[in-house]
Amino acid sequence: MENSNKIKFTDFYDTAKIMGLDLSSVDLDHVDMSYGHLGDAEFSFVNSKVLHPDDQLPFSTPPFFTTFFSVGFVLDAYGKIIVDKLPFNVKPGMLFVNKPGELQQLTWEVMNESYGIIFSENFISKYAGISIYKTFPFLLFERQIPLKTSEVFQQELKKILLLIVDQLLNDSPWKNQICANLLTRFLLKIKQEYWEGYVINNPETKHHDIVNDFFQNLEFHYDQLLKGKVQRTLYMKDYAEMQQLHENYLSSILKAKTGKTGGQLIAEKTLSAAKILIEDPRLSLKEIGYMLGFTYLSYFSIFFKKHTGLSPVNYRKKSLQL
Amino acid sequence: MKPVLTNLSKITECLAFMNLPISTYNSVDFSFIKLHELGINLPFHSPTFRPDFYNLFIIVDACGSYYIGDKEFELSSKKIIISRPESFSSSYWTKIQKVYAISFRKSFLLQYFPAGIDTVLELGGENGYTYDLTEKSMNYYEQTCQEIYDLSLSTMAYKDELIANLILNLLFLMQLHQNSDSNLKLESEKQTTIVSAFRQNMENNFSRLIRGEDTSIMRTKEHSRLLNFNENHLSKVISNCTGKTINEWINEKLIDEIKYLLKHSDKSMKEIAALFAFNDLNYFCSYFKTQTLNAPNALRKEFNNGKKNQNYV
Repeated sequence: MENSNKIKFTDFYDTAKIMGLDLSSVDLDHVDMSYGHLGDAEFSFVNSKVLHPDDQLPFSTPPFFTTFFSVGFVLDAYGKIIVDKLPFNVKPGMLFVNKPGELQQLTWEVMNESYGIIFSENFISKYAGISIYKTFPFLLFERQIPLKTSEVFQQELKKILLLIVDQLLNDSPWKNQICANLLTRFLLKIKQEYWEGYVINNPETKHHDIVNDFFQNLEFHYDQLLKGKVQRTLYMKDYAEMQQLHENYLSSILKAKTGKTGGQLIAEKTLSAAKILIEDPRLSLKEIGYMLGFTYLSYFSIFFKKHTGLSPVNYRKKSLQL
Repeated sequence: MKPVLTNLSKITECLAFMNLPISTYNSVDFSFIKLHELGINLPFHSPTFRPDFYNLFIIVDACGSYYIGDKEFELSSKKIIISRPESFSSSYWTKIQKVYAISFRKSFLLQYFPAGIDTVLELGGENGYTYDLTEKSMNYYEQTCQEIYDLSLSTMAYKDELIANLILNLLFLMQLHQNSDSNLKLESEKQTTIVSAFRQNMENNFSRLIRGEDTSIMRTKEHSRLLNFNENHLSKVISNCTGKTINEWINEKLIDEIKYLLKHSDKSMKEIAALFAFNDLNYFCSYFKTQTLNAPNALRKEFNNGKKNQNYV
């Protein structure tokens, strides 16, 4: 049992699909908080204490690329996390934040109480209607946030987590909305507590700046694109020019830091934008394709099918059925 | 006795009209009031307002009635009640032990959470919604209210965001309760947006009409033009999603408004007819008859008699 949990944990980050499968085997007779993790590919809750019983410590995950945002809420545990080759110590009373596309390795040495929330960007924008990049920029720039303040505040945060668990256990039709709502409250509380006097920490190396700037430019551009404020799609060359870099240099840094080429990153963003637009029945597929820079509908269809396994038409049918 | 009829719509205006104190945190967008701390003389009949905000009452211990449009909700202990904006409403209290009243505008929530909340605010196509709370959920609601109250008094940064978040949380929980008996079939997020945009336009039209800013009731043609849709498409979306056609929506709303005025105001039939842009009193009566199978005068008499009898008992 413990063994299978361990496999779950590593798979969990790797692919969303395997995680989805895990859920069907969740035993609902369990009591509250006895779950290692709860949730689905879009939003999950992790109770590390359950996943890593004392006899299996220290425990180390293999290095993996995240595909989600994850927030670790450490109340009483020790360990180490290596993100992009930079090690951080995990100690009681801190919060660590990871954004998608980072190479990381997590090690636990002592584990008494620690929780994690894992969510996709899509989840919070779809169900809570907010943009991470606008409302919670610290998720992008921070690696760890000390929760040194009072015990009371930590308990307050924990209470929100318990509410989330409660929601995940009660499979209600509004589960996603309520979870997104609670997650937002969790993040707002943190923002409220730490934002005052907040300065964006200078990233350790120059490369971080470049990667972060690239992501910001990318987000901003697609935000504008979705709102219809700009018509043109941008290529690697344009993004490189924004930072006064050469195209090849930017590409090589992105590849080294994120493990993906610039083209792939843009394609991913295009895909998520396409999904949002396809769910809007007011737009024709041709229009959507054109908005995202595909001159012919067939190019768009091929691109979409290649990445999702579904043609845009089928995807729309499926999304409208839900 | 009939409540005083007003067209006041803003939160602050309504509070001022009732001579209630306006605190610094009671803005046009949001207010939180502990009714039991105001020292209201009972029984209390509130004036009729036409709010542009949502009203959410969390009733721990109180008695009374709440009127919105043609609907009457009983106010009793361990209850939660929410009402939509742009409709005549008033309340009547006989006992107020512990009541929290939260008022907020849609824009207050939209400001921080710009998407995905249309469904919650539709209230399943009704003007208001209420249900009884269990002991456990009562506690949860009360705690949340306390939290909102503390926040509204505090000077912390991002408090509005948190308040909006907490209100949304309450709304989601209400929605959860209502989900089983909702009669809206909303197929996707975007169609919800269309439905709620249509409803808002329709309600605005009525409010403007009453304030004398519009001269006629908008029908399908005007609505589709306003939303930039084809008439047929809009009709189809509305009737598929809600099970009611556009005209049915408009007629129901109109009858609802007229009924409220007949029951809870002393306005003459002629004045009411003029208010809703009926040029001819006869036409008004026959319209009302075809819609409700009852004459307006008869409805008013029946209601008044019914009330008198109640008073004697």
